[in-house]
Amino acid sequence: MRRTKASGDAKHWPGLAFGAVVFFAYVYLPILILVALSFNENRTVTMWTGFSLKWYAEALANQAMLNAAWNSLVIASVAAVCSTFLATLCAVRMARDTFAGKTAVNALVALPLAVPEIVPAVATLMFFATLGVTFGLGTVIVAHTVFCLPFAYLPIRARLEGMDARLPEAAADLYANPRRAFFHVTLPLLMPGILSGLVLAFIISLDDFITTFFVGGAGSTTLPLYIFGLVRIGVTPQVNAISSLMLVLSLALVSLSLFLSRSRDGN
Amino acid sequence: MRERSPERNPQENSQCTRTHDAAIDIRRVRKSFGTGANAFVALKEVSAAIRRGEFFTLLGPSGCGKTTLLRLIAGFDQPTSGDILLDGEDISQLAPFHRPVNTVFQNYALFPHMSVAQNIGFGLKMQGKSKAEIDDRVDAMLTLVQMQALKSRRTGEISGGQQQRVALARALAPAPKLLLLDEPLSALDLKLRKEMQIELKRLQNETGITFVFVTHDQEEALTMSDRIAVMDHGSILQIGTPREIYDHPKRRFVADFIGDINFIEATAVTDGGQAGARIPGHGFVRLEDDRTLADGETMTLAIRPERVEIVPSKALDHIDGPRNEATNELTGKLVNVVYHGTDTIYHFTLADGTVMRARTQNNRGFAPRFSVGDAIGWRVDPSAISIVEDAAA
Repeated sequence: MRRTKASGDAKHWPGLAFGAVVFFAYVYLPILILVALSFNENRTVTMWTGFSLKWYAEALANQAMLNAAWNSLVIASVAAVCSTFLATLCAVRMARDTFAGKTAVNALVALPLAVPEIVPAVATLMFFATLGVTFGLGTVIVAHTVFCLPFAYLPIRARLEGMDARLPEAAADLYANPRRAFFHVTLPLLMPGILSGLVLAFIISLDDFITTFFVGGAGSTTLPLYIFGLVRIGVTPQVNAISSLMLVLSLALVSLSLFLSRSRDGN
Repeated sequence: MRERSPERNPQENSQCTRTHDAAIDIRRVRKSFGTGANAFVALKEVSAAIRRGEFFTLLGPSGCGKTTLLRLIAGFDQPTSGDILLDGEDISQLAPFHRPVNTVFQNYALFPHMSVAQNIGFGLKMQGKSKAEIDDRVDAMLTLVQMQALKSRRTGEISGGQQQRVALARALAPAPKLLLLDEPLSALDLKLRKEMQIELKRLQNETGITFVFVTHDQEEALTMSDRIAVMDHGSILQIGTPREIYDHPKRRFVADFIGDINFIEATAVTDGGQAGARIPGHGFVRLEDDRTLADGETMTLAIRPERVEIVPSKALDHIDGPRNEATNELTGKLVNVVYHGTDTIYHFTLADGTVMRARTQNNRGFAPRFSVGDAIGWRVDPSAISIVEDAAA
């Protein structure tokens, strides 16, 4: 870093600091206000009168909310496990050797990240309708598993790419057959990436609205759908409380994911 | 070229106990990668017989095929054609985990999620040995490489030299018939490298295991090996003891790759029953090389600088004349004197402009007897002159 105050250096453009402050304020201030107001004692959402936990108590006593939260948890757990399992198989196979069209396959796996979610959501809806499947938890789980796949795949692939290719060779050299080399060397070393992918897939599923909205049915209302329903009726401070709870859960999981992907030697 | 190519009976398979038997017999092994126009030939029909208990070195520049050959022996790749026999048994199609051959990898490839002791015990565990047996063997290995104190450390928590020892212990623990070492010392600093060279020789002596060692470091090869195979462009150019390789290189590449050397173009002279060479613009030198020469054949002579002796040119008129037939003395013109601490290198030119180097030890301090521009005489013993083939391979 020998850079002095070169005029062309973006670090020294005027107004940059101000712009940054505006950006962060725009992104985080609404969230901070929402969290603060979730502790507001007053029924009117925009007027602060005193500290209270009553909206949390009310939210946690709301059976419909609890049902939605339970649905979200079930869908996210099953979808995350399934998609991570498939992503692991895919990543391991993709890393093992070269074959014609490998680059294309790699791009195809990651492509859903770039496709507007509404497109696969509508397509999935029509797909299930054509098959005549009953919409419900099952369809949501299948749809979530599919769109979580690239999110689970990327951290696993990153981990594999960072792994010394000679480690499986060393295992084979030391009398481990391919199966044992995988379970004793590759898999343990891949674990941080797999866990990171699992958590990421879980959050993405937990957070999803569009796909769930399209392919969901009776009894498969998730937390985001429930909150949306509440807001349409009218924003009560209870929504703030529920949203804050989701925020805390998401942040915790994202931190966990980052922590896992950073632990380099897998212990 | 080939030291030995033992003839073997087909029925004589794995149970052979001949004293000079080859531990590894590499027979006309070829390896190419890719197909068609993109095919790259990494090894062109390589043959070598490595003896039991031998410290055998594959020496060559990067890309010469030495690592490819090592990987074929380990089983990570299969030869395109040819056979690799271990104790008389063809192993070239066996998977690596079925070969009693272990490898020390260039950057060690230690398992980062295991402790030092778990790394060392891995091979034994995969072989299905009992826990007690593994523990005993791991302890013995830790003692052998002097790593007892660090047995429960993770491999990321120990130094490069210590990782090297763990890699050795891990590869030796299952008592392989053959240990392959892929430039194992290249990541270490000079001092540690010297220590590990001695350590490796000690381990080989104590275990009696055949070592196949890959390196591009000629000094390492000369000091450690029982025999060296010099490789270039996918071929083995010469196999021999360090002394044979150094004193009697058979190819120009071998002579040039190992140590410092002078090359002189000369013409063969065979009359009078005495093998010799005529150097253009100079006289006649006697040769001892046993190669059959045709009169008038052009050839390349290779002479180590330390075997060239600079002498005062008292009788220059005679020196390139008949007298040199007795003393192998020729003339030259001194163009540079370079002081190297332990020795001094004299650069001088021949009549055709060839620059030669003579190295003398500064036994009595640095006291140059000659100065730049002087006409000098130089002398070389017939035994110090090698005739080398120019062809690349």
